[in-house]
Amino acid sequence: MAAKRICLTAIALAAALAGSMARANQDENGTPAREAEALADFLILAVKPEGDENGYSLVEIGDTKVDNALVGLVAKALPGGFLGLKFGGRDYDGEAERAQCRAACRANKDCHDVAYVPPSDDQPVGVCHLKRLIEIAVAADAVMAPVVSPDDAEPRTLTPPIRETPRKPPREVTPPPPRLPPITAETVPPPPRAEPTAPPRQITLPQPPPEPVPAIVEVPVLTHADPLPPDAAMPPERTRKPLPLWLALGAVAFMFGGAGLYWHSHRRRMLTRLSTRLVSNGLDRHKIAVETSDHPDIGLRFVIRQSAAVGTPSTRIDFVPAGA
Amino acid sequence: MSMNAQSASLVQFFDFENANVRKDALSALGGTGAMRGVQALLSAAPLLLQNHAMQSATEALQAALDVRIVDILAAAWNTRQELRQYLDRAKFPAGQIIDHTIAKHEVKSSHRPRLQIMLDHSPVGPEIEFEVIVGLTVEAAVLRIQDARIMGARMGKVFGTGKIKCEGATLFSRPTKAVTLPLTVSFGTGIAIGKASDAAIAA
Repeated sequence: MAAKRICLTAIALAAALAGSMARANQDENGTPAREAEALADFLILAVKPEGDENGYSLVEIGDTKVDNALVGLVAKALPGGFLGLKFGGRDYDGEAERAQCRAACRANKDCHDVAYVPPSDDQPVGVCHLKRLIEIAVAADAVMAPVVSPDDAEPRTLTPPIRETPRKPPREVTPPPPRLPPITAETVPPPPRAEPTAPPRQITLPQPPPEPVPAIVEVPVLTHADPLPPDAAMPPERTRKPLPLWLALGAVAFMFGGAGLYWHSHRRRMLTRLSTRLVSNGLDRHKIAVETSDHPDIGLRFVIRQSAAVGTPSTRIDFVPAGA
Repeated sequence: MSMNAQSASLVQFFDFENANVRKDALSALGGTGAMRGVQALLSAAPLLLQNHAMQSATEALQAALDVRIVDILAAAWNTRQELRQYLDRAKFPAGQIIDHTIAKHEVKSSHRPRLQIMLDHSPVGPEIEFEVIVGLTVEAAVLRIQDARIMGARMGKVFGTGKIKCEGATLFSRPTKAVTLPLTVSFGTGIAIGKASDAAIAA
């Protein structure tokens, strides 16, 4: 008998809990909207190293999505970059950058959790994803129809559901009403807005005596912070890979070389159109004169009588004065 | 003696290959009426050709100046009346070698090359005439004459001055200074005395 009483008490408490949750999910119009809580990014910061002396600075690069343009600006400001081209992975202190993320989360009252994505080839800076709890009205698009039992005095009416409800203070469990009409609510799951971490459970609650009517209620699932691993918290945004330096220089050299070849060829072709012909060098009318001083010319005449090698004793040279 | 010195021409004489000298010459040439007329006729041609006209004329003038200094000297010496006596083969048989010494003398030479600028094988404007004036002062020269031909020469110091003019404008001007020439010049088979046409025969 005592065991039966304890069992009945437990069942009553569960029913009361289900009833209070159902009321808590009703909006102002009494619509039975159900909520789920999930973590979502609300501020994304890039961890920008400022050198050994200045430490780090956090630069906002988006709220719910990484802005690639801002990431590019931060990457250009990184030390060691040249024309936005980099030649390998950048050294970074993952622990220090992760600590920067945690500090940023602590400083923000809305921050509930933070995920850190380390630098990679696609994303040259570490990124903090600050997350907050949001509530999702999972029953917003659901279709619910009351099931009227023969004991109901009057059927319930449904009002249009709302899509999202503001965050509400922690709910208190209130005791069940003295007599809860037995209802059966069937819900059609909405499009997957937030992935629940566990499948919805179905609990069959018998109604308290004297007429226990089983109620099938889908218990809302609280998706709570199981922080994802840093790399899986948010996939790194795809950033455009910088052009390799050798390719850029090669393209520039090719363009200049081609332009030079074209210009050289064009210039040479063009200049062959114009030429200058030497009509006469003028030597046919060459005027030439010799002016001498008063000194007369001197003529020295010599005759080689016997041909011989120069310097041999048998060579005889006769000098004949001019006019002789 | 080096062949370079013997083959020195008026191009080296006027320092024609000096970029600064050429630049001044181009500037002066552009101011002449003939070149202005050519430029006016080329106004419809591409700018590249207009700018090239004066350069082309200067290059053609350089070709006209390819006259060796020693050939000018030989031509001048060949005009000497005193050398006519060696035409007498009875008095100066072929076996005799005569060294004829000319004391300090001055050679004056002038000639007028003419150029025509052509565009697409058609003449553009009138012919452009230049005047090349050269003055050479030779301290002394000994001409070796054999068989009525000037076979070679030995020279003392030679100083030269000169100008190249176009329509009265001086394009090139050389002050009087020493000319680098070999001490001994050979004319190969020789230059026939009394024949001016042989003056420019290469050695």
